Amino acid sequence: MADEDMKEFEDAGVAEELAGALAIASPHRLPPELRGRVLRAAEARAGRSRVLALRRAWLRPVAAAAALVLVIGLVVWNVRLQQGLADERSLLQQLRDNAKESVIFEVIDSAGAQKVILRAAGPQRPGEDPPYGKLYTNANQTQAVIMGGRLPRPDANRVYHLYLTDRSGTTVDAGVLPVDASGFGYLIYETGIRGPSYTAARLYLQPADANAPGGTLVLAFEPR
Amino acid sequence: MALEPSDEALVARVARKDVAAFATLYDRYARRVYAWSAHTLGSEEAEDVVQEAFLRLWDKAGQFDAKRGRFGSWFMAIARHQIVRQLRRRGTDQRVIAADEIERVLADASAHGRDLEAEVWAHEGAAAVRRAVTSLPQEQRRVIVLAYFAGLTQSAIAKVTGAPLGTVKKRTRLALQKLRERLADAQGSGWTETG
Repeated sequence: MADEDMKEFEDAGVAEELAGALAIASPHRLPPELRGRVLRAAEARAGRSRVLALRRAWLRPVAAAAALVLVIGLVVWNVRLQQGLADERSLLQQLRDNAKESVIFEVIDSAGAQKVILRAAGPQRPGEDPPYGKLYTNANQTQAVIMGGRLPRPDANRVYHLYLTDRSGTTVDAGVLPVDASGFGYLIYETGIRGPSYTAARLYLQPADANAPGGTLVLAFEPR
Repeated sequence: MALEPSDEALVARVARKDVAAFATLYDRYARRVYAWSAHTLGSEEAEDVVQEAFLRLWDKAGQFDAKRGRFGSWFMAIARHQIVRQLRRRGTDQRVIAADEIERVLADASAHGRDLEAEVWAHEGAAAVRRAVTSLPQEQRRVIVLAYFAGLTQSAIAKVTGAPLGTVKKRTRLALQKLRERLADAQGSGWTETG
């Protein structure tokens, strides 16, 4: 039967009565026990619906709280991301403003550049942004470039001293990181090998004549 | 004497998960679904189809819209969908055999149609349609039974009966027209004849 015929057939009520006509004439009799089975199945579904509704009612505040935590987490993450990005821009901008040596840009801005982050190592003062730093190397260059930001001004007898550790575990004194009034400083270290690689970098605040790690650890990139 | 609630009033209560209303609709319609299923699918599967059709009613009652048609039409379309879905797993031959049996039962109303309980239970429209089906020419009755009860398409009916598709369509339309007229007469005149 075509769809439009069936629709007409059903709309006119003929279909349901045709089924009724068969029921009148048919020798098949509806099993009496089927009624109870169908009603019990419907009641069971009603029970499940009530349980589901209760679960949904309980889940709603939990879901709302989870969503709130997620939103807060995303906001915090975004703020940190923005802060990191700002730090990056700030460091690079200061480097561009201050650096005279073109070798810096060959290390940090050309193909083959790699960087690691140096994080604040000591306890932080509440409400203050921690100092931070970056170590750049380049597969095509022999220099390593280290930048630091938000570094506290060192007292008269001490300087920031950088030590680098290579894959063999050898630690070298990379030199003193001078810091300007804003807490920014950079250092170019000639490694003598193309594409140097380091597993650790540590910036200590220590006496100017020191030549081994020691004193106050300020920034560090540590092997995992 | 209290008036019986209409199907439409009952289905509205079922939408609010009223088991008593659901039970009343079961009493009104289960027999139709069962008889149809038992003839086409067998008694055991018929019980499952009845249960499935009524559980769909339980779940979907809120979707029924009285402005779009009668409850009986809506629910029997649900039941037909369940039955035809099961029938599609069977070959055309089996469906034709089932349809032949239904046609024989409908045509031979005098043999089974004197069931007093059935007559009292039945909507008067069903009795009118039954009489109309009985009075249809055999080839028209056959296309209706094959199409509605066995869920065959008109092309399949043409193949099964060996009649051209155009002829099948014509027979279908003529049969529908007669059934509709007889039903309208019965509903309009308050027809209560039972024989």
